[in-house]
Amino acid sequence: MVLERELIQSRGFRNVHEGTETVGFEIALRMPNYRGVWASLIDGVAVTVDGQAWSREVPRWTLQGRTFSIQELRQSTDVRWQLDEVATVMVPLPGGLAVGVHDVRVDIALHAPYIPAEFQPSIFTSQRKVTVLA
Amino acid sequence: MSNLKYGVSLYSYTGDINTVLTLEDAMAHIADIGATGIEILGEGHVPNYPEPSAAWIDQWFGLLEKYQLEPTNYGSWIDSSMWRDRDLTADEGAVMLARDLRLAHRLGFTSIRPKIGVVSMDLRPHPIWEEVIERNLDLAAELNLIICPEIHAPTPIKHPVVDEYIAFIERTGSKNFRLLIDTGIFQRAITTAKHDGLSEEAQEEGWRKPLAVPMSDLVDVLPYVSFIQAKFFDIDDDLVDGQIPWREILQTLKENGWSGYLSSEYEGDRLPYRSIEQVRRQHALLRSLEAEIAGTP
Repeated sequence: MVLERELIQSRGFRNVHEGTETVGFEIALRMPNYRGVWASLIDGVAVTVDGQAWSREVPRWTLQGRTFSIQELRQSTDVRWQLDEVATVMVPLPGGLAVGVHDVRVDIALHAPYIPAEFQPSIFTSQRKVTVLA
Repeated sequence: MSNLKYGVSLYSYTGDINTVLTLEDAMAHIADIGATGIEILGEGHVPNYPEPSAAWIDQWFGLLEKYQLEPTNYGSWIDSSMWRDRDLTADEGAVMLARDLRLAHRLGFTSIRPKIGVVSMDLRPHPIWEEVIERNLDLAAELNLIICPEIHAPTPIKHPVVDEYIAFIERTGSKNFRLLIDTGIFQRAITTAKHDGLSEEAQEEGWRKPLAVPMSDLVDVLPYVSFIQAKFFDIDDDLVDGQIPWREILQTLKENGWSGYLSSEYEGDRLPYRSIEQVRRQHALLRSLEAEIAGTP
């Protein structure tokens, strides 16, 4: 199954429910680099929705069926963000997002050890309008 | 007698692959331009890397057969700074490279390019490189693989990094360690191509500055060169490449009797489908230049 060319995938943009509570929202992201990476090279993703911003330290990551905080991801040794697999990032937000169209921006930070430390991390930015259905 | 062969690296299709192109689509494009070689990035193009399924490996060989392509070079990485608190050890690096050697061999490749983490602005490789490679030379020999680090802008040929690699070849006497030349080092004019993810400053420093390595430097190291990544950014409607001096490069290779693969690495703007057309133009250009050179008395 192919992915959308935009880094922010429209499929997978949804509110997250725990029991009867809506605890946040999640976004599926395509790997922005030309290769997949071991997840410790991920330095996080800053998320902005309709002007409200969350720093790189906040979103939780789900990769290859496992969920991590960014601190856990930076220390990980056995999980990857592959070129052909999305990462699902979850932003805690009590009540979630309103049903409808949202202006979403992500700034994805990745380390590349073959590029001098002075230029780390690489930041990949993507912005588009996507829709929450429920 | 020089025998140039043409291939394409899937790196060329960055952004398009897995979105508007499947692996099979990419192979069909490569075969359609008459190229015979396919280069991949292990960490990019092997689903479930480093442990692809048996079904995927069957599909890989089925597609190679269908499109009559041979695996050329397999790109790998030795990420020397995987974590914030410590560097990779030589032991860990050696295990990493051995894993990629075995996978590259399993997929039919004969050449492997490890991209080694750097420790300075002039891209000196992390000091573990030498031990990591040396500990894998026997395995590479057993698997018939040539390990070739790439000489890539902003590192020119006349540079301590290249001197160290050549000293390593001479000291070990190994036939399984050679150089890979990325033709970006011959860039003569600025490119406006945007490199996703990098700051303006990093792009200025590494990707836009024409390094303009002279052909005489290439001649000096050519006996050590086993593979060429034919890096380019833009070829116009008249098949003119404003950055990379292809005529001189091909002439140098032919005159000095070099044989091997030129593997396209398109690195221009990542607009959907642009890579496909740009690679076709490059192959049209390279073949017509080679024919012209051959016709010159």
